[in-house]
Amino acid sequence: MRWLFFAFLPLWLYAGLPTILDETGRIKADLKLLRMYDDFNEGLLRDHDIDFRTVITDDEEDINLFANRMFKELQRESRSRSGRALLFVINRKQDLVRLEVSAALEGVYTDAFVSYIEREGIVPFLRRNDIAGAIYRATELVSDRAIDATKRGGLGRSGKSASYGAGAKTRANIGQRNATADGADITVSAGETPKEVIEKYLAALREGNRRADLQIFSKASREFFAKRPITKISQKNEIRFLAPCIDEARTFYAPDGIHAVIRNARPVRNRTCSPYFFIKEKGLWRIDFMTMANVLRFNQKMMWHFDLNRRLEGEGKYYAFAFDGYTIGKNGYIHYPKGKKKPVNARWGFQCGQWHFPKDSPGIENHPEKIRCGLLRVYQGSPAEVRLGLEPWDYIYGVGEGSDFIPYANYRQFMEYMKNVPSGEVATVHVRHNHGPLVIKQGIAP
Amino acid sequence: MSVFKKGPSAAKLSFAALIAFVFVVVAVWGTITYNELVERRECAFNAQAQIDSMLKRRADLIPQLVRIVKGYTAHEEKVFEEVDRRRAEAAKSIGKGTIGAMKADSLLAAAESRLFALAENYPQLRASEQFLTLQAQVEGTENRINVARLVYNDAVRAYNAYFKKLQVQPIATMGGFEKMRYYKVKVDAGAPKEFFGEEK
Repeated sequence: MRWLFFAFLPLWLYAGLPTILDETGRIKADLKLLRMYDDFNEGLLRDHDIDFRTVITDDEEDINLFANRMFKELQRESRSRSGRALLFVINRKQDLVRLEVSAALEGVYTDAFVSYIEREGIVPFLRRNDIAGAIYRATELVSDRAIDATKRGGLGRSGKSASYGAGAKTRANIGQRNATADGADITVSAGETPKEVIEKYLAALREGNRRADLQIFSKASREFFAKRPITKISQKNEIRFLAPCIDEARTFYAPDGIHAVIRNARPVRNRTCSPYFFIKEKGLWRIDFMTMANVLRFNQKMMWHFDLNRRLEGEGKYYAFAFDGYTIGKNGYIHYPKGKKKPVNARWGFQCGQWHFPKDSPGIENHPEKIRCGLLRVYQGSPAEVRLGLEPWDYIYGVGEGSDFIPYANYRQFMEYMKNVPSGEVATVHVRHNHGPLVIKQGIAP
Repeated sequence: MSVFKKGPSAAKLSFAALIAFVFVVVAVWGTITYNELVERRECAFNAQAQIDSMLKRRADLIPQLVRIVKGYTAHEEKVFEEVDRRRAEAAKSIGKGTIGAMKADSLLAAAESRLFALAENYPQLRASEQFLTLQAQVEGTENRINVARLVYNDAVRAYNAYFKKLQVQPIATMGGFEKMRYYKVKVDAGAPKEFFGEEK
């Protein structure tokens, strides 16, 4: 197999090599993770001029020598102009990982640091046989370090894209799960506010409590953590970003009384202070990490933003209320609204135009019940935009769900429905955007 | 009547020109060969310097490693004395050419293996962050030495192959060049002296 790989290497180099080379062909294609990996990888190259590549192999050669040789091969066509390159090697057969560091980056990614992130950040994923997760985590940690180094004065000298053997190797323990969970359980008592719960969470992080079944987590979150490793490094990062945000955090309670959001008072200015979602289960506030993981994303500078495709999916729609007054950009970041504000007396904040089916054209002026609503304007930061995700040029096709579903709702039916959905209840609207496919949008009424 | 003296004959002139031409060719060839030898030898010396620098770094890490191990272990003075002796001996050998480097490498490997073997008996020590950090540095340095060794051996191979060429030999002899020694490692920490038999 190896000869085949090296036989095609010149061709790959010529064609532009992918950033992950899987010699084993066994890595599971987790598209979400790979997309996130690509984002970080591109960010590393664009912002720090670091060429990060990954090789998964079963080669029997010593991993140190293999990594060094492969580094040389791959860096013949380096994507970096300043000689900054990293090669992450996972050897399944030898059960080892190694991060090879170019000479230009030796001062930033020291052997001790590389060994540390391998042990504490990457191996926990490999223990669960999650190779895609390990690769993504490696990129994320490398990226964090690059950002820190840049803040502290830069990544250092430029040089030839060569490696003199810097980096570290670590036993990967692939598939050997750690049965032990560190730390005592942390309970929540009745009457404790979400802010008190988040302070307990911060204390647990500081103690290095890595239990997945803490009572401060929602049921779904406990199941979520049971499937994913909680690493020392992720906890340290969490402390780093959460601790400075606690003082300026404000709690927003949903009208339904069972959802709450803690977010920074000025979320546009403090994008590294991410919101925390809370759900009341058995009368106690618990952190809903499951929904946070579905809805929130972080760029390589650890600035949070929404995943626009998932923002209002599932439990996500119950937390959108906390961002009323902010508009959401095409990349999912929140901004201050520009342009006209929502009229004071408007509940949702949209304006309808009129449309009708072509078959209804004859004598339409005498049949107002056949006139339907097409959204002409959706005010930025309005509940229609933030909670329901409506956009201008959405054609309304139906409202409600179940027994209350009204297909082909006309103008009046739609307006009545939107006016009368009780506060805190889910509003359901069936729309077609610019004659696209039919989409069901759901949000919590203001 | 001509006022000019009669010059040398054309045959004499062409012979002198030929001699001069041969002399120039030999001089140019000699210079090029000499320079090539110097360049190749410098390449190997440079790689040798890299190895020495890494060995120095490796030797400097041992006292730190000893300090950490001492904090967790008791009644192991003999081991520490032996490690210290080997480290001191290695430090003396660094910078004394390939043989010196090989000797230092072997002594340092022996010292480290004694310490790591000792650490095996102390799980708390093996799990301590300080120890793991130093272990990573030691392993990193070893790996750098390995990479530098490959570079050095490549340079020596290139130099020796050139040196052995028939047309290069006279210049090499006149210039005082000698065949260079490969850097070979036999990780037998217990018997460094046996290994350093002559290698020609």
